[in-house]
Amino acid sequence: MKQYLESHEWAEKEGDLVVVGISDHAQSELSDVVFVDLPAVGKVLAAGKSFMAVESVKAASDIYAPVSGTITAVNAALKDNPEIVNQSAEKDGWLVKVKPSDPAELGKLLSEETYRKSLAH
Amino acid sequence: MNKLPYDPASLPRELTRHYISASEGDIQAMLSSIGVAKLEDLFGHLPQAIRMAGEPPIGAELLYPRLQEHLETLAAANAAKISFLGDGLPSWRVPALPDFVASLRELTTSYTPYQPERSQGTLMTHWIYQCLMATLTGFEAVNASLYDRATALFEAIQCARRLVKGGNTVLVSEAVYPGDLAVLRTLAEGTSLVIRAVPLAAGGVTDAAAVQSAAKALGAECFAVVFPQVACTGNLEDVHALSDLAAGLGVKAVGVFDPMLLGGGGLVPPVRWGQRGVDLVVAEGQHLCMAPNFGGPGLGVFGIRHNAERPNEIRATSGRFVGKAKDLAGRECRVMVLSTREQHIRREKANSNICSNEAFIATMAGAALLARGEKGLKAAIAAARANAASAWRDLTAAAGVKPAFPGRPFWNEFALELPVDVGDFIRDASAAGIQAGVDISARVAGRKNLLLLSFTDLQGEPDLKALGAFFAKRFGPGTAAAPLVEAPAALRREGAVGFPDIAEAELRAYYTRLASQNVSPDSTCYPLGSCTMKYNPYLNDYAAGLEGFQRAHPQSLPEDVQGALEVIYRTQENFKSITGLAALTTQPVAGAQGELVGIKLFQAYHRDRGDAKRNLLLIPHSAHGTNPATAAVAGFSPETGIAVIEADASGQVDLAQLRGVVAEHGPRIAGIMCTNPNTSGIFETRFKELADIVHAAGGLVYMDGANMNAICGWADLGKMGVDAVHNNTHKTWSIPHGGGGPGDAFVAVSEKLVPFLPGMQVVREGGKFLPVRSPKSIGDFHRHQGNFAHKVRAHAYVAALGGAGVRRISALAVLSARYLQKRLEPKFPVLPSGSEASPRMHEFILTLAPELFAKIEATGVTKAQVMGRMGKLFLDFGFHAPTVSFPEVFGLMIEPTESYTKAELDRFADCVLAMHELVSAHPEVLKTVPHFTPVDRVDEVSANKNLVLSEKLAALPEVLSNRLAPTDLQKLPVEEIQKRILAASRTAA
Ligand SMILES: Cc1ncc(COP(=O)(O)O)c(C=O)c1O
Repeated sequence: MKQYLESHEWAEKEGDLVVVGISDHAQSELSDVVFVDLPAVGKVLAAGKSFMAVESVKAASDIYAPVSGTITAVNAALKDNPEIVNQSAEKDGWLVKVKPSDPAELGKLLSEETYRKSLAH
Repeated sequence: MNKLPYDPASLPRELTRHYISASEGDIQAMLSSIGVAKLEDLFGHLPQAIRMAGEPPIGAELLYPRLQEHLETLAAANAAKISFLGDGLPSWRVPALPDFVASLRELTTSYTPYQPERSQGTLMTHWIYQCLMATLTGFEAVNASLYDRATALFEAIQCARRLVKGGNTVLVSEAVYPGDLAVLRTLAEGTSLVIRAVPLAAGGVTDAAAVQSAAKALGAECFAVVFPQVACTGNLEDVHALSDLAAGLGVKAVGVFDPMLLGGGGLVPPVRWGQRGVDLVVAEGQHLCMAPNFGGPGLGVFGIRHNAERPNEIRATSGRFVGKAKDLAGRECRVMVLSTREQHIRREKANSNICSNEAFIATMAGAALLARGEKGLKAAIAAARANAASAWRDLTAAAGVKPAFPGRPFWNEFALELPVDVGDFIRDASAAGIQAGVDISARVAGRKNLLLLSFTDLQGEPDLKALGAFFAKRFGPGTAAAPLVEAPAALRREGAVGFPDIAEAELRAYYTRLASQNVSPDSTCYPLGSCTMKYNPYLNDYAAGLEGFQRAHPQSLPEDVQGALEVIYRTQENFKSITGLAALTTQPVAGAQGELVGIKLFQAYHRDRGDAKRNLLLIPHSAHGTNPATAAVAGFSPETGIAVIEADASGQVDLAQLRGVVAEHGPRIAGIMCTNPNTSGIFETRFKELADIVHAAGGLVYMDGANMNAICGWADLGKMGVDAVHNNTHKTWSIPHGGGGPGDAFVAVSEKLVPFLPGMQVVREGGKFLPVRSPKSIGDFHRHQGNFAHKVRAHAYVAALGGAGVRRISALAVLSARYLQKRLEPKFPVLPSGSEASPRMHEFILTLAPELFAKIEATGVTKAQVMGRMGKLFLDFGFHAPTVSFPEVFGLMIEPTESYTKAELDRFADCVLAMHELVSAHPEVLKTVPHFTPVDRVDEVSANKNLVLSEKLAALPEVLSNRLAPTDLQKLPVEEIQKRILAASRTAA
């Protein structure tokens, strides 16, 4: 089950990790992604702080961490094929996997329903 | 007086009063159409309290030919002497091609190539520069361009810091030029960057042992080492040992080189320094294509590796890169890439605040390298060496004259130790008509009377004889010449560079074709808002090109450059009057650098008062990207150091919000940066109130003066409470934009900031002009005194305006904009919405009605794409586009300037209305725009994904032709253009 940030990131539990990506809405706002500035594995994240960026030709979108923790994997396929973020933002276009330091933080995120409703305005 | 190289009478805008083309009749007709009685009333909504009392007292205007005479007299006040001044800014023989290229007005007068389909000319000249510099250095990515060597060095250091992540200290060998080091220190002050200078070893080269021990002591705190190939003593460095030293320490190596010396037979290129080459390279490039011009415009060269092993380091760089691209039909072309690093997109998170750079000097440098070719460059390097060797034999044979660093190899500059006071010697030589060199005694601990002489291919036999004779006479014959040390093979280039040798005539024809792909404000309104694309007088260029100005070396004795100093002095005086402020620095080279000067002055002022905790700057939402980017470069935290202030319903800064922020953060506030008129073209009528609020909290007020063209002569910035303001001289003061630079700026300041001014102030004492330093100067922003040639152009313009003209240009700029707005308003809503009642000044922002947006979106063009496509439609009518999506995402910002007749403005308005009509009836044309440019819409996505930033040039890249030239489009009836667009669109679809 995915949860969201107002800044359009999603987070989803996968075992004891949290997978992070940007929402389909965010990718369409950004238009064609040309570069994903993948962070290093091992980087420590603080919830709510930006930790990487996804870039189109005319915009660079900072990505904010949904939870605190340590990056355990990055989606290396995006290095050569950043367009995967456009094609499949909420699945194949995931960005990083995080080992959360405080899993309770997940509880503070928006539900899918609340997030989708917020887009309707 | 000289015969002018052009006929002013044949140029429609050159002999008009104040370079304003509109007739009195035009002016009356436009005034009555907008319902205003007289020009003065255009400024009726400016509060009385901040109005300028009358015309700024800068004297009466000078007309051709008196103006020409005045400029020639100034230039002639610089001495013509045999020169051996170099010291990082040598004078080489420059081929004729760069000057020819500078005469191609579509290249010199156009703006940054934001519209690639209408700027292939500019883009290709930058591509050529990037390719040639890449071939020369071995670095795949050389940007086009940065301000000068000093700022390029700062940007390289910042880039290295980003790449290393962790560590704030850079070790800089004092072998770099002291002027560059001074700029680094100035820029680092007040930020987390620490510049640690490492004094030279006794041998006049980088002290490798000291670098090593300093780096070891610093540990992870040290992130990079900076050293040059040629030390500021003239000595060649062991670049291999130094590069390996940096690699061994695990820090980035930043190498400084001289592009003129990297040709065949010259010095080893940086890609081959040490085991792995250096990480970043920096150079000065001005002398590739220009004489010293009292220091500038310079050309900051910046290079980084970009290849399969190092694909992403490029992301940490600053500066503009042109990449290879394809248009939608697959035609090869060029486009600016990697823009997301820059201030206009990234704002306070940008890698740098630089906006206008030195683009045209890069264009000229590329042309100069092509004109020299492999053979020419090799010959120039050999000639310089031969001259140096010949002088070495003569001079070291004089009694008591010794090599300063015996046994050290050099190439074309060497240092001597004189048996007399070197200052006296330089003055005596000057009296004898020789600029003998630079006193470098202070550069090496414990040494004195060291003279550095520079040799190039420019000096001839008689010059060398004169120098030799002066030494012989002054010192008498000695025993024998000192042995000449050859440069070791390891420090020299092996084999050829790989430059093509192309005939001059072919190159001229090529650049002429490139020019035809651009448009120029010469021929028609160039509506790019916020850029003030006014007419650039030919006389300005003539003045800047006068021999007396061009050859002036910035390290000349003041008596040898009285003309140059007078230009600066007059500029200081004139702009005190024009702004209503207390003093002026002419050092900054662009608006963004002017902003940085201003903010650093604020910091120095607060520090000086022991009030150093002010770490917050207030910046309105609609500010240009350089404002927040500058704040970050000055050391304000992107997260907590900037408070964004919104606009209220009138489109002006929301004073209620401002008061709230001040109440909350008062003691933290360093100041505010506010553009006036703001970027929506609205004058901030409550500016004085805003200034009072900020002053009451102890903060200072910076005004971004990019829009001075709307208010000069009418608003008194002193009365408005401004503490610092920049004027972009490439906007208001008529110097050409050069396809993106060089820009130029003046910063005027209030009384409080005078003691801190950077660079030199020119004072007049007993009829002589003298440079002096302000007592608490914050330092230097340029290796010398800024883009001097542009100071000459601006002076020529201001002299042509006089006090009356300063008022008239702004009045006509406002009148032209209001008139156009009046004509376009019936079809186009104006943004920001709700602010319609606020009168616009020199520019206004248009958008489309919601129904038209909907109609266009129904064709498949997304809402986010609509304004961009509308911009492309302007290209189809033979114009450049307005500013698209800034500061309003769904806006087109139009700034006509004062340069056009009513008929020209009417034609422009007719065309814009015809665009509306066309799009209303046939929204699908926006799917295929533009149609008549040499290329279709450029595929920027793939160009940014598959970055190609250089290639080896075996021949000149192909140039495509306009399908319909802008000059032809400008002559067609409007309905005919509509028809042709429709037809072209149907064929394309
Ligand atoms: C409002 C404003 N401020 C600052 C700048 C930056 O000036 P420059 O390009 O001279 O650095 C610009 C340039 O476009 C501008 O329009």
